[in-house]
Amino acid sequence: MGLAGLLTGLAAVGAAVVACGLALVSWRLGRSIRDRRRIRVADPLRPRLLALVVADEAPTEELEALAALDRRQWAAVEPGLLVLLAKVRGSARRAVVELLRRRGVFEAADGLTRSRRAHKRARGAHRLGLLATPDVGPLLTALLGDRDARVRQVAARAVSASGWAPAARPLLDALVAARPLPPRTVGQALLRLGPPAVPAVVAALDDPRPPIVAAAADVLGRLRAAAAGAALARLLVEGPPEVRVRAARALGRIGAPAAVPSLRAAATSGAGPLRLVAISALADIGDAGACPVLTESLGGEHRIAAAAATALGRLGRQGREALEAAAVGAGPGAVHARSTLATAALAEARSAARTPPPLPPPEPAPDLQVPVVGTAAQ
Amino acid sequence: VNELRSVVVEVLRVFDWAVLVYFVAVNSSYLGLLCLAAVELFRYRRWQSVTGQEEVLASPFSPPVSVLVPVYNEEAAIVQSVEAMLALRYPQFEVVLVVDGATDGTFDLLRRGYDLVRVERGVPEDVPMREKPTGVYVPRGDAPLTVVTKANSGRADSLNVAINAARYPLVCMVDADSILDGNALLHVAQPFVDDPERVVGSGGVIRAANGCGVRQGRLVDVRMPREWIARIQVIEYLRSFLLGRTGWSRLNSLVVISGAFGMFRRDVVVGVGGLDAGCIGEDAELVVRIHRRMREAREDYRMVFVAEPISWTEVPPNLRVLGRQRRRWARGLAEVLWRHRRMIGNPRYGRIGLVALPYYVVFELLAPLIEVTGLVAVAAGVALGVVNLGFGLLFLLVAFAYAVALSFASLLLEETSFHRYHRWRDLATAAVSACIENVGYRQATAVFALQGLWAALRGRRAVWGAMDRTGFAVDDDDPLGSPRPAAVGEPAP
Repeated sequence: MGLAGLLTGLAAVGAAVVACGLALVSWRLGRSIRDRRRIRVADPLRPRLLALVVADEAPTEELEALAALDRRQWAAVEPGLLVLLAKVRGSARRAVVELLRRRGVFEAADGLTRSRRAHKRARGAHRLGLLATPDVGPLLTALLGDRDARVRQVAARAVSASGWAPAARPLLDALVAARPLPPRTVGQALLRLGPPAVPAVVAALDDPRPPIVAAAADVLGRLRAAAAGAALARLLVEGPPEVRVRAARALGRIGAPAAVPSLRAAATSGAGPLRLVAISALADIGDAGACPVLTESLGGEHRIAAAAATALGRLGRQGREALEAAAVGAGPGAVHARSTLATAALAEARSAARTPPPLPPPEPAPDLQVPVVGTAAQ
Repeated sequence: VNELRSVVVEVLRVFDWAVLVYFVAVNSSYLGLLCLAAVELFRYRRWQSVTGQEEVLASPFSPPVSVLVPVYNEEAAIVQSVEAMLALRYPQFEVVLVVDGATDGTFDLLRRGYDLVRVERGVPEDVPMREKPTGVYVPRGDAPLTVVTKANSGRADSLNVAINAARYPLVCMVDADSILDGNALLHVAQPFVDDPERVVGSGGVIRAANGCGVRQGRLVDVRMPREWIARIQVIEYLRSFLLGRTGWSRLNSLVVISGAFGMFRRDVVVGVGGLDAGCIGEDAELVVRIHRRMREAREDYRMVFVAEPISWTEVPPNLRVLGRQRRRWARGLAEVLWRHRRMIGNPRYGRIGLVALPYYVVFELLAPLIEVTGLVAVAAGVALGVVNLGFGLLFLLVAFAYAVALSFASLLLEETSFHRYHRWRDLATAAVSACIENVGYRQATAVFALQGLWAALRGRRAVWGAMDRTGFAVDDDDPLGSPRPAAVGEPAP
């Protein structure tokens, strides 16, 4: 490379610097002009939008006026309306949906879902979910099998927002599809669909595919679906390992006393994760009879012992007595017991501080300073 | 003498050409990474409106996070920092603070600020700890905070203690002096929600906070710093996170997640044995070790970088502190690469072994050496008549202009994606900083890096040193935010 080469290089990078500088300034100027113009156009329309969402019934005059906005005005108010749609309920929501329908937002969103570009399909699905009208369910369900993973996720969120309960089964099937959805996305979508989705989710407990059963168990537990108790109790005993863990957790959340014997057995002899979950489930159910099992678990490895101590702390007087008895010793179990007792004392002190002073005056708070450990327990 | 002179001349000529080739290669690689970053940011913007972050916030399925904060002498702003961390938007999280043998009033302030009560709690030894906890404290109130005290043993060991004390499946390592965006956890946890089976770690963009307005531990006004040295670092951080992280993430070859804010699956960190307390670049070392173990186990995994600016940190305001920081960085990089030298060029480690690590050796580790010796060689070449003075100056001018072009392109990407610097004056300051970076600053940092490499070669004891921070704490009554002194640092492990 000679002098000429260097000069050419200098000219090229110099041009690049100038181009970047100009682009920087132009972009900022353009943004500032666009923002100002949008504010100038949208500001006078704000009272009409406000009138639309605060009225008990959709005000026809405001609706007509907003539906007749020209393209420039509509471009200025549409983003704000879509944000508003996610936040309003009842008549305000109906009014905004009606306005968006009249402006052809539904058709536009539907058209976007058929775009070749993934981000446009996702945007279309998102908008359909915001509109949440009964007819968007099937359209969004079809997108659960989209070739782009992010579109599938947006569709799952959107279909749950639409409240279309028949989507429950396709959502569960999407867990094991060739183009799958993550379990957390499916779980949250089913949870959002709520009780109307429960029959389909209960039916999924009989599915031969463990990921579907595990997800269904998880959701049913969070929905406190008592109708699923018997099936979950069966799965706790007969299911594959991951399903057993989910079933145990769900039974605890539902509060199924019939499952207590199986849970006690799992809390004593189950594999690590199952044992941990079964211990917590017994506390969720409030099974004071599990105290001996839990006391025994205080001698287990750190996380099992900590979970057992926490569970005992939640089992009322009997649990507390068991902890006090265990706290006397010097082993790791005793450390967990003392830790739980101290935490419980703190919680009681907090609760006492929140409630108005009863008559006669409350007992003084226990001394929370426990002996210094010095080093880690294990 | 003439023969010796001709040998020297020939060597210089060859070396000067080698420097020229290296210069073209290094800058072209930067340009390539910048283009990848531009693609990534463009995609990020397109998807921004449908990320479903509010869903993550509302979902009971979002994985709980333990925020791990090692603390040394941070009395100036510790209560405010913890307050800001406890106010992060996320469904379920806890803050685990490890006080690493602080010698100032850090712990007393925490004890008073949160009405801490000592509890007897066992801490498992899932990863090795050099110094065991001497006390575990929880607030009398219901803040999800755990404070662990221990004798001083350095940042990495403190993080290991925090990992052991953490209760949740995701751990997020955070510096106590960082100012976090309210949505920081939501942003960085999103990849774990979207791809829970494969994502093992994620990091976000760190920006320079000097000069910014801070209220109650939150950034309320983004501005350029007052000192030129800090202004230049704003540009440097911007470029580095675009080139060094966003671009590499696009290639699925991210080998650095900043210690100032990085999230990992706890079981994976425990599986690789936690942080290496004997390595000064422990954050990068952890990431490389995770890559190594995952590749050796033939796991399908991802390390993700989130382009959103989520954490703001104070950068060195003077040359003395900058020198100490850069020497440490260079030494850390050398240590990491040396420890994992088996991976370099080894096809078993895929893109990490064949692309990312060789790149770090050639264009990061050796860059300061080649830059300094190149400058000396060009000067010697001019002096000995090997290189024409005009040619030498023109070469330097091209090199500087290329660097300025990259900085301007980074600024352009920032402007089109996040637009955090609103004032025209800040934009002008940034542009000037991008130009003057090449005169003095760049050479000084190259020399600091060389000193760090030399220290690594000689195997001298690693020293973190104290960083004289001016702090960002702002009185609520003082809208202009007069800085008040703060001292942050960490002694030798």
